Amino acid sequence: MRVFFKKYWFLIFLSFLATILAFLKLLLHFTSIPETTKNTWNNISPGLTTKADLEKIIGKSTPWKQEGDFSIFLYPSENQNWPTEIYFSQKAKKVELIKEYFPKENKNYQNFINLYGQPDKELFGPHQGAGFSVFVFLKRGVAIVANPESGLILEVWYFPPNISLGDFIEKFGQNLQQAPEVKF
Amino acid sequence: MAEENPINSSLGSALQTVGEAGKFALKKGIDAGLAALSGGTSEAIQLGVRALKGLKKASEAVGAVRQGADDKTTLFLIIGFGALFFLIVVLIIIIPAAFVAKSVEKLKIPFAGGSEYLAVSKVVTPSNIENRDLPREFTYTIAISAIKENITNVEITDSFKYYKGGNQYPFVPTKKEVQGVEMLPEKIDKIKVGEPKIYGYKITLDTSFKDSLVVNEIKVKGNIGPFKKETKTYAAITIGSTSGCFSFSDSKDQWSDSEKSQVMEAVSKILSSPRYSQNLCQRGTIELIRERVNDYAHADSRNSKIYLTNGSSGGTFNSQEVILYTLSHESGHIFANRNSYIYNEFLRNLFNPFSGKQEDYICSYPLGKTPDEDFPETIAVFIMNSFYPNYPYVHCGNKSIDLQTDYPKHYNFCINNIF
Repeated sequence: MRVFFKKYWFLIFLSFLATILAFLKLLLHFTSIPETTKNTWNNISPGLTTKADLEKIIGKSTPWKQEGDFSIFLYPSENQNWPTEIYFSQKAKKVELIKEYFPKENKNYQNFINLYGQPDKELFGPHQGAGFSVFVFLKRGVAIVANPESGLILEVWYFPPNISLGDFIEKFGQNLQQAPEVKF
Repeated sequence: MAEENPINSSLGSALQTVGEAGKFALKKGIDAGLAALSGGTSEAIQLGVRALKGLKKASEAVGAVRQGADDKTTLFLIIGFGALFFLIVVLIIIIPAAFVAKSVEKLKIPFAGGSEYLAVSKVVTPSNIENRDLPREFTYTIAISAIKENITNVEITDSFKYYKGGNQYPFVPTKKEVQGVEMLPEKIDKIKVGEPKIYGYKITLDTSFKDSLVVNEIKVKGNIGPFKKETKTYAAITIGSTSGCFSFSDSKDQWSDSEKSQVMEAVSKILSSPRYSQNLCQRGTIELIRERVNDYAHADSRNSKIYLTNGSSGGTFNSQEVILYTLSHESGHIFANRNSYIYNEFLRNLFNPFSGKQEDYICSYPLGKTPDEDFPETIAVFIMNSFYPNYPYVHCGNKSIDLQTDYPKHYNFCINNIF
């Protein structure tokens, strides 16, 4: 055995080094930005994806519901009972908003702050009485419904990046408030 | 076009670079060393020469590897050692990951049905006294009923604990008979539907219970056909200035002693479930602020503050039941903020718009119907049903709410995840 190690120590060293490199590569892979936190979600890009593009991805389907200008389509998610909602604007003829519910556990408030910096705006919606706000990252085209204390995220929204706060509120946040409501 | 795997590509190029550089450095070093040492006579130098010759052989072995698959044994060894090291590293990752997964698993909250067959209520009088009133006797009254079917082989567990100075202590009091009322047994052969069993007993608490919260838990389980069903309830006594995690603040208006006493009695009921009490109080004090205005009470959940007003009609402090209802609802907001994983499960299980099977918002909440108001309302109605069943203040139209019957999903969620 000693002779063997003596004879092939350099090869053993190389194998060890290769393993470390492979390990580092894997580590980098797992710590990189998860695809779903980018503005393109499952090849659907808000502001770019047309009806034809969307049909290639989700197939021809009828909208789950109509909400103002938006036809809302459903896309199966990992969470069987909570599909993702895709908002297609009839005026713009593009997908404008994607709402992902109860995202994976590895996504939390701090992940988003680390990736995108401080949010441009905190808005208040239907979960504010439980400490959840809507944190908007306008440049990234991402908003999260999160409780900053626990870090838990209820929803992730993807919309066209670099729109103004006014546009965001007008298009996607008409039921949100700019200041917290008193919760009775 | 097939894309090259980035891991293979970077690993391959890294290995090649290391191999080339290593071999080059080694070969040059060895050649230089051999040249310098070739004339030496000491044993150490001889050893050095032999070592360097060994290194040179190793270097030649590397060359052999690079030449291809001539030496299958060497190739086998490289792959074998690579695999071995990789396995070790993977194990180093997997073993701690398993522990992490286990701790995450603990956070997942089960969701299952509760007992709809067995009802138990327990009331203690008095439930709120001053330290100076000790020692004092307390009377417990217990009612156990079968709801849908007769229950047989009923087993009862009755346990006591008290909270003092942030600590919890179990204790076994001496129970005395209440005249005309049967003592609580440990077993009952049968309880028939429509024939509830009523029991009672007295205990005495001495001066060592100053400034404490005394909580009694009664668990009842019995057979309904081949199935075992179980339910439980609590009764609590507050003594002196204990208030769990609630603290009175005069930052707006001043509290009167009688108002404090009324609130303390409500607090004793709210905190009587150890599970709810622990999760509500886990992140420190909840400030109770008195606001003498005729408006709805409200909560600031992020800052753990509850504002108790006179109520929209001005009568909150005229009724102990309304104080309990109001404080239960407002503390439910704080609970939701401090336990967002439970609130998350509440949303996932009760408000799925895609399933078409979601249960309605509880109708007794008078303002806008949103999930973040429905959650505290669920808590408030559950507490009210436990202490004041059929109390008309918790109503929809003319009908008072029974959470178990009217909102079974809400009720089961409470039983399984909150209380």
